[in-house]
Amino acid sequence: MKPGKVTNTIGVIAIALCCAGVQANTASNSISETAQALSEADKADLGKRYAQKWKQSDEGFGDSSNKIAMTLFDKGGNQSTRFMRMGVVESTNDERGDKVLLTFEAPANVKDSRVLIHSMIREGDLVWLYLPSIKRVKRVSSADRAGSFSGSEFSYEDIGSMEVGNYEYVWLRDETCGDFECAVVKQIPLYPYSGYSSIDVWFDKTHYRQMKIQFYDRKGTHFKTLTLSDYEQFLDRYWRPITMTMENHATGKKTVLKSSEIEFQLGQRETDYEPGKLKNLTQ
Amino acid sequence: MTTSRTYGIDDINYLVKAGAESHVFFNHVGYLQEPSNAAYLSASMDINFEVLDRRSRIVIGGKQIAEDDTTVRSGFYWNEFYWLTEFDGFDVTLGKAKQYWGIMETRNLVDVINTTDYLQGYNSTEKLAQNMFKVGIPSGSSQLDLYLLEGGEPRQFYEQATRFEPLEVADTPRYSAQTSHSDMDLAARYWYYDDNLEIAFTLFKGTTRTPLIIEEESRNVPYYYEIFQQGLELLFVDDRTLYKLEAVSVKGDGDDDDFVGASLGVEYAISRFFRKSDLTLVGEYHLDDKDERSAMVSFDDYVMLGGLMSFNDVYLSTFRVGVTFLRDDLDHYFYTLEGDIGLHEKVRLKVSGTFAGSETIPAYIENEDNPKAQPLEFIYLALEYAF
Repeated sequence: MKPGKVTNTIGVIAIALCCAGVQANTASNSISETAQALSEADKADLGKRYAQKWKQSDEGFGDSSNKIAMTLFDKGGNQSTRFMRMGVVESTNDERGDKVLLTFEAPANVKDSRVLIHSMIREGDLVWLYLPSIKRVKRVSSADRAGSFSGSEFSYEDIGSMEVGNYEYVWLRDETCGDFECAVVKQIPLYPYSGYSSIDVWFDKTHYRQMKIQFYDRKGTHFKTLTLSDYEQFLDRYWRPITMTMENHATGKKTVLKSSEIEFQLGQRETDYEPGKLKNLTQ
Repeated sequence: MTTSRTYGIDDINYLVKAGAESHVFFNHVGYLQEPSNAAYLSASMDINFEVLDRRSRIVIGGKQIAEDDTTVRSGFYWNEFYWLTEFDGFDVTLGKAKQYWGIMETRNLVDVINTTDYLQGYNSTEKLAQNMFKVGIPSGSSQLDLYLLEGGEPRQFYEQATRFEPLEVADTPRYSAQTSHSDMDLAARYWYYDDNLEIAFTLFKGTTRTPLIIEEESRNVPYYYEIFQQGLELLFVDDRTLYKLEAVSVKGDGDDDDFVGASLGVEYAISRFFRKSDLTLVGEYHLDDKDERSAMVSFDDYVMLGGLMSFNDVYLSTFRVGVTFLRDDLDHYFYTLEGDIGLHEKVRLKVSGTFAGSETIPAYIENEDNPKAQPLEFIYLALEYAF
């Protein structure tokens, strides 16, 4: 299978909107492995199968929209909250990932600022910014993806995409995660300018949802942990985490995303998510 | 206060901003009846009102500037007032709107739809709203915009010579035989991107937005003429580097009104340059053979080198510093700075300024014998409070 064939947007904030997993409803769909000694190739294949399963569980969502309250906590517990509207349109192109649009709604001094991300496979994402203060749409170098998103513990890389074709996989182990049994899979980025050397993802083996992600910096130090919780199911199929908490162990800071007003299949089109429309979007 | 309420239509949004602006000058300009170190202060109220539904938006933006002896423009004026609606396969904009063409940081040669609002300050990037009917046709990774423009908004001038504009220009425009204020202008822009490449072709036929300043009966008056402009924008992304080109060819209806120009630019991104901040190194070179009879400083054969810091803070703050010099004269140069900084959830500080790095600065070298030709050093501060 070519790398771009299986794609999935699990970007950090995008996780809330896309690709949270569905229940494996047939025995043939489920993945089973034993703790018996697996070869390195087997572990790689197994890890990728979990990611693919997770992707397949979300296929056909079409488009979605939700509101996000992003609360930043500093080391001393002080907090500030901003509100965004996030939209995602599922890609109809196998060689590309989904398109994500973030629009700031509050506070007032960043209102209507927009970030548009076209997810790519094994290439840097295409990123455009629209800042109302300069009324211009500006292309951003893909190398900027590692930067912090609006002062939070999330990076643009987290927001954009985590396409299945963008990683090498290694199944590490199975273990209990809360009330579920999880498979822990190491993912190593294949795209340029990632801020991470690897990430470890906990997949819930019942619904193929992501429950936790640990991020390792370029030196291999575990420095961030994302916890996804309060899952709700939509359209009898698509699971979404209502709460996502990113903790930065190096700084002691924390960012919490709370999703609300989650809607699917609103009739948004891929052409609505083009840079030429950033200034004049009516949605 | 920013409020958003749900009605039969989806949303009505208000964004009300109150601001105080000040230009502070640090040197003496002898010929002007102004103090050595002058400071202009003005207050304004900016209201943006939007009616939204899934497919359309009405934008009503106005600005009220407090009465002040030192400001030329006072009272109320429209920032924007337009209706935008989407149909299947195209969208329509009707009303007074602003359009921005171009990809360079410091000068946009191709930008022609709106007249620059020089009353907003030195080297302003603000514009006067333009009456237009625009049809936008998106198609995958391309976009075609077609414009029908109701004449050109005449440039506005200060009533007397100021530091911003050393020439005293009568606000009585003159038009060439081929054009008039009431003529309709036509414009088009086709934009296309493919992964790492963006390209745009632009056409404009109508009244120039940058008049020549001619002498008529011992007065300086702005002179408008018909132009046909072809423009090109090219942007290529190579990992950390952005390469940019803007080029323009203009044919005027007079013998000396033709010109060509180009701007070359490169940006190099350094992630996490300092803590969370990213630094983008910027270099731009501007060249044109335009006959400079405008009152404003030209940017011909200039190089700008600088850096743009994106703080990646909660307020999306940015700050840019640069040094500008003539390509073949490194002894004369000036510094520029520009910042857009969030201080609080409702407060932003905008700052810009120019400081001479040498006794004379490039913009005035060719006019050293002119007593008006002196460096202009200033800093502009605007504090904006969003309700």
